[in-house]
Amino acid sequence: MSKTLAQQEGLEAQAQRKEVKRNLLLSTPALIVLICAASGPLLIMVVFSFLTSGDYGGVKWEWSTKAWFQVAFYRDIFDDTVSIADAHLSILWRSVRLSFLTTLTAFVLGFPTAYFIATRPPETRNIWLFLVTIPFWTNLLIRTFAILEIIRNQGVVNTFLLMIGAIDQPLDMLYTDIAILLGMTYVYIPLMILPIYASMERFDFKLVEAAYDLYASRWKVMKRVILPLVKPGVVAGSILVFIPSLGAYVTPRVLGGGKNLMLGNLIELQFGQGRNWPLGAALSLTLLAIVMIALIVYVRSAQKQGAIHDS
Amino acid sequence: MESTVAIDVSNVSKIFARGTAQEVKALDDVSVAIFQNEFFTLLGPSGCGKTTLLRLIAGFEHATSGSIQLDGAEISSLAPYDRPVNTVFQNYALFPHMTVAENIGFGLEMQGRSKTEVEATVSEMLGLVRMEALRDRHIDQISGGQQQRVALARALAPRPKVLLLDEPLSALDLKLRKEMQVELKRLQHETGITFVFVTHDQEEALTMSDRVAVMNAGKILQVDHPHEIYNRPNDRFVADFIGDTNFIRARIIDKDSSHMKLDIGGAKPVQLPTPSDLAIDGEITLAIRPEQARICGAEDAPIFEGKLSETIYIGTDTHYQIDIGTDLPFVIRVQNTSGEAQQLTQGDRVAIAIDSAVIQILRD
Repeated sequence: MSKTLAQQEGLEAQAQRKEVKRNLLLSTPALIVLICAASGPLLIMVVFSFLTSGDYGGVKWEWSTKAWFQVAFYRDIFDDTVSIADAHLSILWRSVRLSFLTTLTAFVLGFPTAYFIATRPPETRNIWLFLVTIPFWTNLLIRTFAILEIIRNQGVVNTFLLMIGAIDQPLDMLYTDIAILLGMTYVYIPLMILPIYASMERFDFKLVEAAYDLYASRWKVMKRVILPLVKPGVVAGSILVFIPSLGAYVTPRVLGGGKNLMLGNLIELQFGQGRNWPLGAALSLTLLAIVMIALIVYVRSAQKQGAIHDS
Repeated sequence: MESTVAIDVSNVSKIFARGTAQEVKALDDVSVAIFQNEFFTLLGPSGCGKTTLLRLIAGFEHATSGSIQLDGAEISSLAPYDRPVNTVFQNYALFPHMTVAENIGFGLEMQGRSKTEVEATVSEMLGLVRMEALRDRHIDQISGGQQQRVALARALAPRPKVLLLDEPLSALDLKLRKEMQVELKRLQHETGITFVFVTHDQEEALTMSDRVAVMNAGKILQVDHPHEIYNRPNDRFVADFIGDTNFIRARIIDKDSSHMKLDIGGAKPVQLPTPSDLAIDGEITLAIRPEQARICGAEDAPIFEGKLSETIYIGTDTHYQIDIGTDLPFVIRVQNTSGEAQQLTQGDRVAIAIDSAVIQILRD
């Protein structure tokens, strides 16, 4: 009896090994893409961040931790004193702040939009979704310049406000953080709307009726029934907006006018004019670390909230 | 026992998609009074407007015209959350992100009751529907029948003046449905709350209700006690929808104050006592329940005769289909009390006796 059992276990293990082998074979293409496109470049970045910068860009193959030091500290070339790299920190702070505000704005505008679309009759929903995705058809740069055209001093908004006499001087909107926020919200809002819509489409609106029936006001229905149930969509949308915002390059470049840098611009600077590739690599990895930490904290807290309900 | 009116629906009409090509008149000038502490059922085929009427009382829809009063106060302009009325939904609509206890306590919490009061009422409700052991389970961790109980407890917890039930048993299998029918009756007795129950199942309606309203095409055809609805249908639709009925078109050939002679298309005219309230002439329809007719000998004053065309044995009963010269055969249901089938063979001539008191004369 025990022998046959052992035999059977052996057979099962064999079958399992076979299964693993086959799965490995099937996942090879995905693994190759993952190694070449993600792990490879990442490894190069890690290596570069520990090398010395070349005189005309590029790297010299000499071990150095200078780049990592430069991420947060600044050494004066004349008196050799060390101070905190204020410029980097303020850029980092601006990036995090603007990305957070972009995510928040996109949620505040995107959630009602998604709700609106999800509550239309099924036949018309696709039209609304189609309208949401239309901006994707145009190049990001062109869309950003369109925003610039609207908010610049002689732009549409200022011309209109001057014409109706609401202001005597054009409002300085261009090249401010507000301009960057506006541009990024415009660019990334579909990434907020679509996942929220996807969860809302599966949401059973009978539950809203049930909540109304049980004396819940509109606000309570939203807070106690709709939001908890579409939370996966809100989490996904927030991640999809926050991460690209943090690394945004084109929008702050065009609408920030080169004086309001974000992390993406700072990194680009190191690989271009700055001729400091190791610092660029180190800054990129710093950005990656911030994103990872933000993600882990966010997902953990979302899970924890879910767990309270599950327990 | 019938005393005060709980819900008074008067002259209510509801038109969906008004003014468009898809315009639908879901309710057509409906008036009905539902008494306090009564188990009232809206019965009808799908699309008859019964659910629309329920949703109007709940406040999910607004009437195109007419008024709805609860305990004498107009409620038709109030939002659902301002009406002391709760609903048990067809698919329960329980909150999937909450536990059994949280679901039951939701309404109380929204009413702003204190935490201790919510706790106490939830425990009481769990006891009432016998779900104490599952209070901390999630909705997807309990069975359909248990979900049904939670939905009931959730709707009863705020102690509404009226409980509305929208085909709550239709998703359950037969055995569970029977159990829940008994359970619902018990809950109605124990809580003393007025129940308004919507169903398309006539058996469910007859067994559970104090009174039944039969609806069709946006109108209420008859409101009465179940036995009256069954035995004294006032409309052909009601007679047809509830139970099985033999319909016989008849023409009045001759009529005096005591008797009338009817031609039913058979060989011989049929003689029946003239009902006192019958003011019609010409064509009428007779409705006779299959179990209220019997096969008899010639000495037993048969009303008409026919030829046995089919015998269907179904365990408790035997159905005899008898050709009496009309389009459809006349069906007689005989209970198999003795265990032996009656000795009749196809083609036999049989005489049919019907107590004239059970014959219904219908308006068309």
